[in-house]
Amino acid sequence: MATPVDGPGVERPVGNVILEPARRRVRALVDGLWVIDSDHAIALYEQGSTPRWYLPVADARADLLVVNGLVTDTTARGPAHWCDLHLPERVIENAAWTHPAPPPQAPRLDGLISFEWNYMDAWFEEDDEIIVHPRSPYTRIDVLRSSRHVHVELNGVTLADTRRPLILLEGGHNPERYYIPWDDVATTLLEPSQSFTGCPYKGTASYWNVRIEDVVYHDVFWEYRHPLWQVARIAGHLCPFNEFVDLLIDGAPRARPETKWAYHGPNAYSWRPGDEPWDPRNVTAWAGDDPHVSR
Amino acid sequence: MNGSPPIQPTDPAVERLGHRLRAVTNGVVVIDSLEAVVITAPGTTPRYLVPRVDVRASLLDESAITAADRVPGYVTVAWQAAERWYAEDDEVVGHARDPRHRADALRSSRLVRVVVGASVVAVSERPVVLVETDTRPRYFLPRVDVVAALRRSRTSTSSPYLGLATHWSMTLDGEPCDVAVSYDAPQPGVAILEHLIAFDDRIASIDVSGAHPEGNGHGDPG
Repeated sequence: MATPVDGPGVERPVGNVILEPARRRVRALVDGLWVIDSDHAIALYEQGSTPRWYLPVADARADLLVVNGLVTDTTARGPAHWCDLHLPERVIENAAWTHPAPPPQAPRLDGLISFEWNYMDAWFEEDDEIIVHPRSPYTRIDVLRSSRHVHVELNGVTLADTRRPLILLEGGHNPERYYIPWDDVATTLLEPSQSFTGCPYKGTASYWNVRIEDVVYHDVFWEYRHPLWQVARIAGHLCPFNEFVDLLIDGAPRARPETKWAYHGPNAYSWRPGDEPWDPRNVTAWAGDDPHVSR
Repeated sequence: MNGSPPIQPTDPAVERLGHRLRAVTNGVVVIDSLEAVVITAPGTTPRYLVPRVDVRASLLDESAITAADRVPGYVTVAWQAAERWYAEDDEVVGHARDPRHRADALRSSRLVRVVVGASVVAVSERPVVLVETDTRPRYFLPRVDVVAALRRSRTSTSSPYLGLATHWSMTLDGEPCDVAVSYDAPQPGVAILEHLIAFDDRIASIDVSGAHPEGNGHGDPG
């Protein structure tokens, strides 16, 4: 049995790679063409990366692909040989890659091809569109109704106080998130932010800034206004960034968690150990223009 | 609930739950813990472990409580020893949830044909494919696409990820036989399974059209 990729207590060497059959039809659409249609896709999980689909070359529009000569090195998968995708109206450079000669310790990826997620117009599992990246089969989302007392402060100012939060647990590896009904949030302190992020499990989040006197704290709350149906309960709720607020649960203070979001705010995709913390009063680190961020 | 130091699980099979865990028997709370963990191992049912101080042992049968040999100060309480279990305020049925178990219910337009014995019992072009961690995919079909004489069975099972199962039986060789299952009140993450029915692929022959019904499957959409 394959084992999960990340999470507390699971120690893995960097570059560890796990392959797992999709067990579902995987398709991708570009310019109205199905360039991928596979019953035999394989999910590849690599430490520190989101899952990727690999599929037999025969399940892609190989007739539209031209090897362009670019070869890049990857940590654990061996050299990647890149292809351009020649569509009727345009060419997408470096749209796909193969590993024709994986090193002996690498997984057997010869005969398989992978595509850049963001270059496709849409990806599907069976007939359902999937956003941002493939879902991990080991990431469980639970949205639990709770009656615990959740109190949110920033610099001593109360931002929210509720006894009917929803607690969202994500695969055991992200901090617990507390979704608070709108009515229980100090909405007069909120200003809309331009930031947004996407998540394959929950949908697209928009953000709210908090203004306390003359200071604006960016992206302190997020909201899934139109969540995916699997987590429909979180509609109508706001969720504070545990990393940037003072949180009391049943009166007990919670430490601000040390996550990648603590360092880059919503734009955590490119976080590396050792980076300077993100300051919610300084938004230069985050322009809100990268939707491909998973929370 | 306080007084038990949070443990830092280091074993891959032991994980912090991150939610309040309660169990109720005869209307009385017998477990109430903010520090529960879940222990998982391949091929076994996940179990919750709770700090001994969070269990009202005097209200439970002694045999229901077992010390957890891997986590000092923690015990396991037999699932059946409590009538109801709650994750926060939501009931968990069946057994403890593995936080790494995922269930994807995906709408599909593949042609599914189900044969039991010599009879075609269902044909559908609108299945929902249920892909659960470490199981074969299952095909849930609208009840109206099923033409078999199905009766509600007395079999009762439950899944902490899907909900309470209703089993359906058919008469095979003169005997009632459970052949299908449905979830009348599915968990929120699989809510679209409501009103759908899945045949057991150990009894039924389930034929699913491939991804490429029109030859190479690369035709333009529409």
